[in-house]
Amino acid sequence: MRLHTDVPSSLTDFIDAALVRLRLQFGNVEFHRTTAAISADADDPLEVEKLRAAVLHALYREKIYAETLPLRHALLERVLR
Amino acid sequence: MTVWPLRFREVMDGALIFADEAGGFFKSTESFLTRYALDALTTADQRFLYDGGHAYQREGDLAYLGFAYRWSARQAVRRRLSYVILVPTLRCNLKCGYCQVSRAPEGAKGFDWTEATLSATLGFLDGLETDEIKIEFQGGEPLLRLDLLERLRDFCRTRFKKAEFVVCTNLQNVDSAAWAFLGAADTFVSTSLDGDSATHRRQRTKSTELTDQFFSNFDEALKRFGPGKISALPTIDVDQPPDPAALIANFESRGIRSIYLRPLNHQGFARRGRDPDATLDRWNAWHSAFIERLIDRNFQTGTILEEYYFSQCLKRVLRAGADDHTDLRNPSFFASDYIVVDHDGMLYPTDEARMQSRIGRIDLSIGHVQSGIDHGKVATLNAASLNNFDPDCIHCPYQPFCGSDIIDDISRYGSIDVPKHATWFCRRHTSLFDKVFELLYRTDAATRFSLSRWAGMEDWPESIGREHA
Repeated sequence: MRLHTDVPSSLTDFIDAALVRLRLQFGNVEFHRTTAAISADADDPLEVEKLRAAVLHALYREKIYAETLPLRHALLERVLR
Repeated sequence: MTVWPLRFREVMDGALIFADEAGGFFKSTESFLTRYALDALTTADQRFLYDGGHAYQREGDLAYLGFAYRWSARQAVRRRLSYVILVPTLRCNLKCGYCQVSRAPEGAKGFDWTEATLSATLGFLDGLETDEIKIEFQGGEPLLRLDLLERLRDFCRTRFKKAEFVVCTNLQNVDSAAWAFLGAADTFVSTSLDGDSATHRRQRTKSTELTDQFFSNFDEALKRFGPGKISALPTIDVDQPPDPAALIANFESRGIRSIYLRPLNHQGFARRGRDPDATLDRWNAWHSAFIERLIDRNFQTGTILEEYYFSQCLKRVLRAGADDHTDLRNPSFFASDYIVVDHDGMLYPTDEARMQSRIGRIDLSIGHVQSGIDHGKVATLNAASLNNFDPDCIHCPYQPFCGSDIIDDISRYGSIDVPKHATWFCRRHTSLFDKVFELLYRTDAATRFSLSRWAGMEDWPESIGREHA
């Protein structure tokens, strides 16, 4: 079965970073990207649903990480003064 | 309002656990995650996050500084070297098949401290800046060299304001002089009790006679010194685990309320022919079932037994500063507050590092008692001894509670570059913290009875497990 996840525009900048992580986590799954979507093939419907959640979570994680990096830097600078 | 970075993980029933980097946590839903990730938090979301200490209004305001304080308190503090593990002999009078300490035969030559090594060790201890010292005598079987133990103890009692000694002994042969040594008020006994007597015999003593001899000495030690002076640690081979009921009974009947279940360590002779991670899932399941058994047992009897390491994980979730267990803290700086002196005077950052060096896998020595600590090598190890910036840990809600173990990574995979989520250490602790959070959000009386006592509280406050829709 094929998974196709359209990626909201606010997350497209994080597709490449998310794919690096997804390919590491799911070594036997082949992921593909288009401009604003991620697709993958899986053997059964349960696997597809698991992958759908994993794709979204990976995108969320990369966005949260990238956008909060300045907060981390500021915190470290303050506590290490 | 600015929200501190939140990490999340799917746990029971599709719910998600969120945690910030200062260890503040709550349970919520996929729809909250979507709102958070897509910058669509509602007023109620923002209020919940601010009230929980996960957000601030302006950099430097009270909420900001409170978070900064909690974040700082989550980092283990580097302390003075005050805990020294000494291996005066590598010889042992048992031949445990999986021996984790790479023992030498009892009659072997060249595996004891020489006079020069003893003298250098005393000089090394004398040079420490601390006024308080804890000495752990390891082996081999340290009671084979009671003369060295006595000289060390005499020296430390004079040199330090406070000195405490732990003898890690198999309690197999204890003569009158050894009983007298162990009976001192500042001296404690640590031994191994592998659950039931059949397992102890199979894993250690090999014969009924030696097993009976161990249990006789163990009970004699309890009679002489009481359970407060004795710890007994079971090593569990999950391929042949002991009967949990018998294990519990063996400890409970002797007044020992804390049981530290240790999986067979992938070190020393235990490495032979084993896939390093083959038993991990079974270990996690066995350990989880043991925790459930304790919860049932405690509630039925109204008394408390704990599994030490699980309690440690629980405490690390609930509060900052629970850093006294050296295997689980972050950063885990080497040669910071403890160090190992081997039978030949070589210094090691941990006992496990000593074992790997001993079998020739890698040289993890960090100096010698005569020449001192190799600080360059310690710095190299320390560069990788924190989890804050690991590319896997930065996404994990359990990072503030967890630690790292590069010595174990090297032992299992020959590298510290393995993705953390694929390591034994990560998979074991992810399972442990999953269990902690599963229990934290249970509401039944039995779970709360044990959980509160394990955490050191009389009752379980409702406010601990925050939830948000």
